[in-house]
Amino acid sequence: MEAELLFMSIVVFGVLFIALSAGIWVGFSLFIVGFVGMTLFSSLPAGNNMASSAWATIEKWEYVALPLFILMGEILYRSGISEKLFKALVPWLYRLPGGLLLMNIVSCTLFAAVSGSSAATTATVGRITLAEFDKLGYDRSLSMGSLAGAGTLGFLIPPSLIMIVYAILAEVSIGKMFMAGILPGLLLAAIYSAYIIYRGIRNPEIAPQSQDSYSWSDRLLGLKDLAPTLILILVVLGSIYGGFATPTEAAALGVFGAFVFAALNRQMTMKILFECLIGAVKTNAMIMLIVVGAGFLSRVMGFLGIPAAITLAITQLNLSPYMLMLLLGGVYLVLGCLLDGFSIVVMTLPIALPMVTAAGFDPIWFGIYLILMVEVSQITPPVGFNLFVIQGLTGEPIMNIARYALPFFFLMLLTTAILTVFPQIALYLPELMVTK
Amino acid sequence: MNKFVKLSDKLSDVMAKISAVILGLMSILILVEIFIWNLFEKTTLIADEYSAYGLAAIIFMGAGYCLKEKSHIRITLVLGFLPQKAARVITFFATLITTFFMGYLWWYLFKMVGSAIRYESTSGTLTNTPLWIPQAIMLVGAGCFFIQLAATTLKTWQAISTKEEVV
Repeated sequence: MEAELLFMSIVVFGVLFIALSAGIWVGFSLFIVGFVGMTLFSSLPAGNNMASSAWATIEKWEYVALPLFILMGEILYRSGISEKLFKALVPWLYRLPGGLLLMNIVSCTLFAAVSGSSAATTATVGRITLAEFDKLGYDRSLSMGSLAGAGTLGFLIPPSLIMIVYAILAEVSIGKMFMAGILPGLLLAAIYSAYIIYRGIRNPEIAPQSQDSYSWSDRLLGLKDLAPTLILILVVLGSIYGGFATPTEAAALGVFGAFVFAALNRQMTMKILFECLIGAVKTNAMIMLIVVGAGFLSRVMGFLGIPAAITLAITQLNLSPYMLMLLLGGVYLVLGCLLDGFSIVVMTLPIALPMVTAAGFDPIWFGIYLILMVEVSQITPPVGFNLFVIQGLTGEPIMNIARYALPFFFLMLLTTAILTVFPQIALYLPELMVTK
Repeated sequence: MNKFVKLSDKLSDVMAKISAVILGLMSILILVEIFIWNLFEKTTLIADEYSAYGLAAIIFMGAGYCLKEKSHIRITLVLGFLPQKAARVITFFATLITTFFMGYLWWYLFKMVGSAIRYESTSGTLTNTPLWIPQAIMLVGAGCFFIQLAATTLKTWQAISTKEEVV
């Protein structure tokens, strides 16, 4: 029996490796592997199962939150929100060591709280800050590196597209997942900020002080530019946390709020709205094709008993829980260099989740751990989406940007370690919340 | 051959536009539900169910456009290490296999819709919507995605000699 399972696992992972290496789209690679597994190792009709699994996956109310949050991000990207954030924050940050480099961290943290994706956060903040930093003569490595690192907060700080996918696949509450990301997100932002301030104190040349000066009235008046972002955060996250809205409803409210904000900012026309809708349709199709393929593969793997067998084998190794997470962390670091975040989550979850819960970890905590690992994958070459975004903004070679992001890579690993030792950082808020 | 590619590109554009309208309507439907529930304690009864059908529709309808715009995720790392000609030939075969596979999936989706009609399956909710209706919309989207994949296969075939980046 064990030999048979081993053979099945080798075939399944072998076909997956070949399909992905040949450049077959990730969603289809997963479908094809599931089809091969089911056809070779079971008597079930693969075609019928594929069709019913596809329908069962895509016709889910919870997933409706996904295109809505994407749409909200598309509207905000074109709404002028990043210019407003920049204007509001400059008077508060310009005198600190590290100066406006902190803007990357603070803006990304705030924008992440209204955006569901790391790439969108990086692009929206980066298109304003990078040009400004160049003008001010800031250290390019630190300006790009800090943006690459802070942009990843888009996935960790709710709302988060990856959290929605994780929560549905892991069968945990999306609202609780969202809340679990807040404190780890703030912790990571604080660690990044501390690092930049430390670098600024050691070498003030990295961020030369500007000649501008701002009074307290400038600071306070500037806060009105922060209001739209703060109101959106309150509406989206507050309604979920308070139990007034489901994540899908909160997403619809977010779309409405972003629309109103963009219209008030004179950035919304029918043409722009249609562009936003088309953009959301495209990104939604990209993510959901992977999710649909993964849904079928997960069903096949469960049927063949592969996850259970691997869990059993790992359990028999008698690893300590920390050792297990270290081992998994190593696997995720390798996968993160090769795959995008969504693929990592959907491909590994059917195997990793039973293993981790068997070791006594909370599935919500593991979701946050996994998302931190996905964040790391956003800045590790050769496949790192934040690196691609920054390359698009600056034209800098990928490997240079990856090198600039290296300190932030280690800071993320440090945060993951802290989170593993103190899981309450993630679990405290979900335990307090009311859910609808 | 190029006429077919152009037609399929156009079809994908049209499907994306229809999906955009559906997504807009989904947003409005959920907002209406939130407002009438909170203001009048009334419900549309359909917001959850129909927005989920909307999602089912726009995934495949938008997938063809996403493919045309080269936005579906694929791993090109290994192909990058191969000689360019070999990489382009493999890309052609990968696209061909994917197209056949999508055709196979479409056939079983078609059979699923047929079963929903034959057995008069309904949603089992208050609306008792016949399931074949949202499933058939999904099927149309899946058909258009298949056509776009077939056109992409032709593009990758031509790209072996033209050396264009088509996927």
